[in-house]
Formats: sequence, C-alpha cells, structure tokens
Amino acid sequence: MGEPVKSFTLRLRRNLLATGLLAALAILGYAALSATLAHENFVTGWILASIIALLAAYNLRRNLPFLPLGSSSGWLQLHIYLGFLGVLFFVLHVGIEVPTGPMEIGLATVYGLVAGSGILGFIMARTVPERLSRRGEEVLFDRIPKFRRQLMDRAESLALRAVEETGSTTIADYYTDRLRPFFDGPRNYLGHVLEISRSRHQLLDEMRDLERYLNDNETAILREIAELTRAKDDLDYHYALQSMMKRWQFVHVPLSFALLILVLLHIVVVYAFA
Amino acid sequence: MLKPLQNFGFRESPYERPNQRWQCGHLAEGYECTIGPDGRGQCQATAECIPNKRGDRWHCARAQQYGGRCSEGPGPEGGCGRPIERCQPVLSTAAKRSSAVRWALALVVGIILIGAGGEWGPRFVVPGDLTFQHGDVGECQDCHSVEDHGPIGWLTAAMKPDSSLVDSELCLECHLLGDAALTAHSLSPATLRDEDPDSARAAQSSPRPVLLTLANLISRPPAAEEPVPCGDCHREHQGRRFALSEMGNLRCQSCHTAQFHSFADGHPEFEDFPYRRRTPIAFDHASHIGKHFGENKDIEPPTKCTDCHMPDTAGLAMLVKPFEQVCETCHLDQILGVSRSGPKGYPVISLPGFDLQTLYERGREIGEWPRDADGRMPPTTSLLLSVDPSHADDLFLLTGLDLMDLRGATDEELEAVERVMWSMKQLVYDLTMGGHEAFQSRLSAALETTLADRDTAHLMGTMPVDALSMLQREWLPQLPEEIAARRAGRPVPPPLWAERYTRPAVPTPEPPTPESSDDGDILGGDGLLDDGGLLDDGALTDDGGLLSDDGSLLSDDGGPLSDDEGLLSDGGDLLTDDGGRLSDDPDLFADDGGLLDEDGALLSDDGGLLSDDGGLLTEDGGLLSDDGSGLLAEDDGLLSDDGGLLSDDAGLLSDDGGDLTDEGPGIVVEAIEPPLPEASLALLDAESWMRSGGWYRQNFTLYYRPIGHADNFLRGWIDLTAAVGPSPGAGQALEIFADLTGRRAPGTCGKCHSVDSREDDTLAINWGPKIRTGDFQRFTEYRHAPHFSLLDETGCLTCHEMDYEADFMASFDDVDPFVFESNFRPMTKEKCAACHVESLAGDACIDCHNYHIGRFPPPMNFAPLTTTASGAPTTAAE
Repeated sequence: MGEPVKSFTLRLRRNLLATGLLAALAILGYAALSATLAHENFVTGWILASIIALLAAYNLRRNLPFLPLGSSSGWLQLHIYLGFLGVLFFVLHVGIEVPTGPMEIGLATVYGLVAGSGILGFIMARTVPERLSRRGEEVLFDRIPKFRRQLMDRAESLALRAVEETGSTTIADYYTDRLRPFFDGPRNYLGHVLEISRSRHQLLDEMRDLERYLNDNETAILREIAELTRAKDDLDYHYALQSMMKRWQFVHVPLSFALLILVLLHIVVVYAFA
Repeated sequence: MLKPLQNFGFRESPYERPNQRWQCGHLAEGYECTIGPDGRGQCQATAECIPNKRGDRWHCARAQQYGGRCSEGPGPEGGCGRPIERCQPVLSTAAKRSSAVRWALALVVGIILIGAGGEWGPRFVVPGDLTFQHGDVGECQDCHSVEDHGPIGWLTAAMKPDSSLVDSELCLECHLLGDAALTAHSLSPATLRDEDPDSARAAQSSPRPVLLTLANLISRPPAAEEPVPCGDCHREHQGRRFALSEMGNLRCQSCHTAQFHSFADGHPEFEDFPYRRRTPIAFDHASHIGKHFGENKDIEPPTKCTDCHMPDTAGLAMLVKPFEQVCETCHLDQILGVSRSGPKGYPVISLPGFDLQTLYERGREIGEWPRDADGRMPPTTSLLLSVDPSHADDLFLLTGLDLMDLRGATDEELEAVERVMWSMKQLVYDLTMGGHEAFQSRLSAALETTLADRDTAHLMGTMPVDALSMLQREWLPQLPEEIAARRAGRPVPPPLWAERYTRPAVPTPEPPTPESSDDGDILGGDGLLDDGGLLDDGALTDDGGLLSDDGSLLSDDGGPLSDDEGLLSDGGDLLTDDGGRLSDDPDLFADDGGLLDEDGALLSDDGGLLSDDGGLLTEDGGLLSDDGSGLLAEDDGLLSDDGGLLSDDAGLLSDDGGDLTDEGPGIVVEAIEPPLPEASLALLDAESWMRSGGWYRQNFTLYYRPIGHADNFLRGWIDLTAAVGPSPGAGQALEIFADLTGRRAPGTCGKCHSVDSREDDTLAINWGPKIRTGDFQRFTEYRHAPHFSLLDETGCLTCHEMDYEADFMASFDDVDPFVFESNFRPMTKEKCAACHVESLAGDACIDCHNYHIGRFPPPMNFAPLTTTASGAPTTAAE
C-alpha cells in the first residue's frame, strides 16, 4: 500500500508544481502583454479556447480507447490541471467584471457551470473512492440492483422462516411494515451523499427494541435480518455515491459540448467585429 | 457475517454490457435477463434457457450464475419450463448521457439561431454595454465595417483581413483628430520627432521595469508613421461607466524610449516647465512689480496675483483679466499716443514731396501738385499703388534719388517720377470716386487675396467719404479735370503759380496797383477762392497767414493786398498806408485791440468778425459762411462770384463797377467800428483735435490715429500683412507689418503683443494672452484649481518663484517664441512628486499628459438645413 500512496503524492506535487509554474508564467506574460498596445484578450482568448479544446478531447480519448493517445490516467491528470489553468485564463480573459451582453453572459455562465462542475468532479474524484472504501463492500454500480434484490429476497425468506419456526408474525409484520419498503429500492440518497446515517440507526434501533418481544429463535432471525439491513444500507451508500459520480457527468459533459459551440460563435463574432 | 455480495468468476459473474445502448427493463428490479434487449431497444427474452437435446431427451441449459439446472426442466417438445416475463428495455447510463449531450447541443444551437438569426441578432452578440458617451449609437455598422447582420455575415466578415483600421476611420467621422489622427499622438511623424524629448533624456532615466522589458520582448511598439487603430487603446463594450480613455502607465511607456518605474522614480526632470514658450503678451512681471507699480502714485497697484489673474471656468488655466481692468489705467494714453513725439497717427495716404520746379522746367506734364508737400510716400500708399505694373520698376529706378532735388535726374528718372505722380493722382481719384470698393479692389489685387467687406471696413478704419473728398479738394482740386484731360489725351496744364517755370524768363513786373492785378482781379493773381486764396491754404494755414499762403489776405505776392502793403498785414493798415484806396486807420487791424485781437475784435472767438458764432467769417451767416448769406459766401455773399461785395461782377472791390473809395469800405469798416478786444485764432491742430482717434489730414498726409485698445484698423492691417504670400505688394506689406508692430509704432501694439514666426514662414501677432480652449490639447496639462488648497502663505509664488535676474524682455526681440527667458524659475519635479505618488495623489501618466495632441473640435452635426413646403426651417433628418 505504501508505494501507490507515495506515487500518488509525488504525482500530485509534480502536477501542482507544474500547474503553479504555468499559472505564474501566464500571469507574468499577461501583465507584460498588458503593458503593450497588443490586444491581450486575443492572446488569452486563443489560449483559453485551446485549453477548452484539449479538455474536451479527453472525452474523445475515452471514446477512442484503441488509439495510441496515451493512458487514460494521464489524460485525466491533464484534464484536471488544464481545467484549473483554464479558470485562470478565463479570469484573465474576462476580468472580474460581470459580462453584460446576452451571448457573453451565456458563454460565461456555461463556462462557469462547466468549470464549477469540473471542480466538483475533481473534489468527488478525490473524496468519493475513499468514502466508498471505508464503508461496506465495493461493488460494481451496474450490479447494485441485483445485489439489492438478493438482500431483499434473503430478508423476506428470514421473515417467512420466523413465522414457520415460531408461529409468531411479529418479525413478519415488522418486515412488511418497515423493512420491505427499505429493501425494495435505493433509500436515503441525500443522507448517504451527505454522510448522514440517521435512518440506518433508526431502523437498527427499532429492531433492537423489537427484540424484547421475541424469543431466542426469533431474536436470532431478527439479528440476521438486521445484518441484511446493514448490508442494504451500505449498498445504498455505494449506490448514492456512485450514482452521484455518474449523474455529475450529466452536467459536465453536455455543458462542455454546449460551451464548444458558444466558443466557436464567440470567435466568429470577435473576428467579425474586431 | 454475510458472505460478500460480489463474486468474480465465470460461474458467478454475469456478462456485463455497460456500453450497450439498451438495458433490460428488469435490471432496476435486480433480475435482468441474460440475453438483454437488441440494438434497437426491443426485448428479446423468451425463457431462462434454451434446453439442449441429448439423445432423445431435453436437458435444462440455464447458466450456473442464474441458478443452474432448474427443477422444472424442459417440456416434452424441448421448450423451457421457466418463461421470462417480457420487459420494456431502458437506456443505459452512457446512452442517457449521450442523449443529454445531443439535447444540450440542440438547445444551444436553437438559442443561437433564434437569438442571432432574428432582427435582434446584433443585440444578442453584443459583447457588453457601450459607454454612456456612445450610448446613442444605433447600429453596429456605425462603428464596425461588417456589412451584414446574422451568422453568415459575421462568418464572412471574420474571414476577412483585420478591419480595425477601417473601423477606426468610422470613429474619425465623429472624432475630428486631424490629418494624422491615427499615428502616434495624432501628430505627423516629423512633428512627433521634433516634439519627442525622450531620446535625448533616455540615458537619465532609471533602470527599465521588468514588465516593460518583457513587454518589449513580446510586442514591438508601433513606428511613428505606423497607424494605431483606435481600439488598441479605447476598448469599448465594457459597460456604461467604463473609463474609455483610461490608460495604464506601463502601456503608455511601452512605446517610449525612456522607460521608468514611476513619476517619482525615473520620470525625466522638468526642463523649463512650464516656460518653454514665451508668453503671448510681453508682460515683464519683474519690472512691473519691482518698478512700475511704484512709479505711478495716481494708481492703486495690484497687491496680489489675483488682482490680475483668475482661473478659467474649468479651473484649468489662470487667465489674465481684461485690458480694461488691469492695463488701461497706465497704457491707454500710450496707445492713443498722448505723449508721443512725432505723428500720433499712422500715415495711410500721402502726397510726397517732389522737386516741382525741376519737373515743370523740364517739361514734365504733371499737372498740379501741392508745392508745399515735402513728405515721403508711406508703405500703405505704395502698397495701394503696387497694382500698377510699372510701380515696382519705378520705385526701383528712383531708389537713392532725392525727390526734392531732381536737378541732376535723368529724363528716364523724371519720366518715372511723372508716372509715380500720376499713379498717385489716379489712386486719389479712384478712392475718392470709388470709395471702399476701390480700396478693396486695389488691396486685394496688390496682395492677391480676397478681402471681405468686414475686413475692408477694418482696414479703412470705416473711413468716411469726406475724408477723401476733402483731401482731394484741398490737395488736388483740379484732379477731376486733369484725369479727364489725361484720359482724353489733352495736355494737362500746370497750375498758374507754376507758369513762371514753364515759360521763358520775363522781366519782373512792376508792383501791381490795386486797380490792376495780374489777372485783372483786385484780389491778386490766384483769386479769392483759388490756390493759395482765401478759402484754400490761406486763412488758417501753417504759414500763419490769415487768408493766404504767405500772410496776405487775398493774394500771393505783389497784389494790392500783399505782405508789404496788404489788407491784414502787420503794418496795421487795412488797405495799405501808402496812398491806397482803403483806409489807413491804424487801429483797425492792430495787434492791440485791433482787428485780430482775441476778445471782441474782428477775428475773435466770440462775436468778432471771424468768430464762430455770428462773426464775419462764421459758418452760419457770417462773412464767409457756407449758407449763402455770409459776407464771403459763394452765392450772394460779400465775396461771392456773383453779386458779392468782392465779386468779379458788380462787387464792391470788383473791376467792373465796384468802387473802393475812401468813403466806400463802409460795410466792413462800419461793422468793426468799435474797438476790438485782444483776440487770437486758438484752434487745435487736426492731430490734437482727433485725440480720441480717427482720420485726420496733416502735411499732405492722411493719418489714422488709433481709437484705443484693440483698434480694428491696426489689428486688421497687422493681421493682413503678417501672412502675405508672394504678391505685387508683398514688400510693402512686410514694411507695414514692421512699422505697425514696432514697439514705438502708433498704437504701440508691438510693445505688448509678441510676434511669432509660423511654420509656413509667415508671422502672426499674439493678440490675446494665453487662453486654452477646450478643443486644444497639449502634451502636458496642468489644472490650477485643484492645487489652490496646497499653496502656502506666499500664494502663487509657492510654485511660481520669481527670477528677477532674467532678461525677460530680450525674449521678445526675436520672432521665435521658444527663445525665452521667463520671469519665473522653472518648476521642479520634486515639488510635484511630493504629492504625486501612487499612494497619495496618484501618478498616472494621464493625470498630467494627453495622448492626442492638437486642436480637436468637438463632434458636430452637419445636417443640412432645409425648408418645408410651408417655409418653416427644418433639418434633413426631420
């Protein structure tokens, strides 16, 4: 485990240093360019457009894995740090004033959403895997419904067994009232994203409270069901975080393509009226 | 402890198809089928397996990860016993994302097409609000050369070469920045090189800032002759309140040779600021403060700077208060020439003196000419004569010749003199007959320029008709006849007095008797109203005679009323004392109480014979009155031609029928019978009479005396002659300009108003003090008003330190305004830098410097004025 962490830290420092140097160079170059009669916005604009194009090319690289264009991991690193440089050049290009033209407002807004979602994605990419590894079993996202189904089937079997073995419907009634809806689908999405476990503890507390009305056999069955409940909650946790990662792309990727179109129009308009 | 949910292995792991577009509809419920939907999203499921037939038996083939062989087994026909409930396939996550991308693109393109394709397209793509100064610009094409609206037009325009310079021309349709609007500082390259002191001082500047070093590596500054588009400095569409003319210090310096950190650190020291150019008005502060203000005890001298100076309305410059407020008390009399020696007016038309005797003797046909004229031709007269093609040659020929002594002159020179004299007569004739129009015509031709009526009025000093007509009648009374004769080719006879030079010498005639003069007239050879007669040079002439040139009453010489026996001679006899017919009463014209006494006598002011009011020679009813009733009036007066006392026919002193017996002179004698008190003719000379300015004649010269400050006549002539191009009268114009701008010239304009040479080698006089108008921009601009609060107890001297050693007035000996030694010591940079640092008052270049240099009028609307059908004025825009 030590080597990957060391490699990751080294890579992080290297990339941060390179990005910082490039940013400093960009700021210095911009300041020098601002001291001339040259239109610094043309320079920053073309650099920004190039960065956006490179960032968008990452999606192309993902869809064309057979081309020898470097590793996906390398592209991701480039995507992340170029994205940060892009924000810097956007600020240099636009300034701190809020645009007032309709198209400029749209362009700036879309860029802001793309950049913001990108930063959010970067944060998620840095935090979600660690969170996932800390809790429950790591499962593939596409298999989660099947596992959920399996857990529900097993819980339902235990509830039926409790009736058959004890003749009491206490567990079956509780399952029907409280646990069936829980096992039936993903639950507590927002709570899991926000790391709030209140509903999980509530269910487990209820089952502990229920134990005083059960005999030993029923108690053993209920504890098995409680174990399944924990597994289901962990599965929901994975589902919530992984689906959040996937849904994030529904913002970032379409807006990136929209941004490309607006950038193209912006360049045409600028050169038409420049 | 639960077993792990996820196992990997061919028996445990299902076949994942995450990249497929469609997924089984039962996936979300956790029991998707193995076969999954087809590529078009159709469910393909039938049963959990396709049983195998081995031998004659069917066997279940369900995969191990789905539970393996089922308990039901296949049917007898080989059908699976566990059919699958069909589903509605759903899109995979990747497919949904692709769909979202397509929808987003469609949405953006749709918005663009709707926004940019419609008539509001320009408003859709406008990058930001215009500054409020440009807020009324309606169309993109007002400022941009893009021809068409819409995406296609923009795409076409984007493909064209850089149009920033073309767009800049559109800016210049409103912003009038001169011919060199787009070159650096809106100056021509040559002017810029002359103006730019940086190269000379570059070595003195501090080390170049790092950013500027980098900037010079990145971008080359434009050359002096290279146009700079407006947009390079003025970035529009930045919002309504954007400061369009803001410019960073580094950006300003990027083009300059001398580059430095800040105003306090590295800015070149001031050189003679702000006294690089001399003041338009030659006002010596040192001599006025140190000397003149104390000399005149009758005035209250200024005690503080604001007694003479005040800020303009913009607080930009300190103005000088008007002449009438601060200069007039001491300098008005100098302008009027009150204590001036010599002529107080400027000679405009003059009949110069010639050696008439020689001219007549050598047969030059010059007609009449005032024989007492002895002056020289003034340059204004010469200028008006310069339209004569021969004038310049004649003047050249006569150079060095003494015109008052032509005895040694050649015939060719005399001929030139004759031409000059006739030219002058023609000039007087033309001006008398043609008035202002003739003057304007001659002057325009002489200087090859066009004069407006207003200019002519100034140049003629609004000369009245009497000034010239009286001039002609006094100096050249026979001029109309002479001009007519000369035009008709008839000989022009000399005047009678000159006949003695034109005829062979004859013995001196005997002294004529009163009864028989030369021309049969009792009043002498020239007649009463003739040359030298009573009404011409006689009565009030310089020669002191009462009514004639040489002192006699009514004749020149030898007549019955001559010097030595004349009517009003000093001898005190009226009509000779040696047996003349007129009385020899010693008291009649005696100095003491006689005819010429001051008070009450015959010629006294009040009631005397020649007095203004009711006297014998007064205008109204007197002896010499004009209105016909006077004694010597032309019609019916005593000395009139017809019927008067001294008339030719039937008069008292006439040859025919008159009778001047001892008893006869009763009319005159009776009228002055009472003893007269002392009297004298104390009239002012014409020059003194015109003390307040205007036209007057003196010594056969028509003078103009300045009316006061800002006299239109003097100003008109100086302005006219300052900028004369090659023309027949250029030499005379130069002479006039030099005459009028001399420090002791009439009006003394040149004493205070400096003369500058201009780029076109002409001259210009500075009529006003330095007044900066809003449309003139200089490199350095200083606003006085914001600095008033910084002055200490010395007031303006806090910054303007006097230099009493400077030879200020020597700066005005030259026409180069930049040869200047001020009364004040130059400003120092340190004084300004005490406040002008970034942390205090700021040190931006544009705080003190302008970029566009020159005179730039504000944008104007040139809409033509038209009229409606009703005749009401309107503009074309309406």
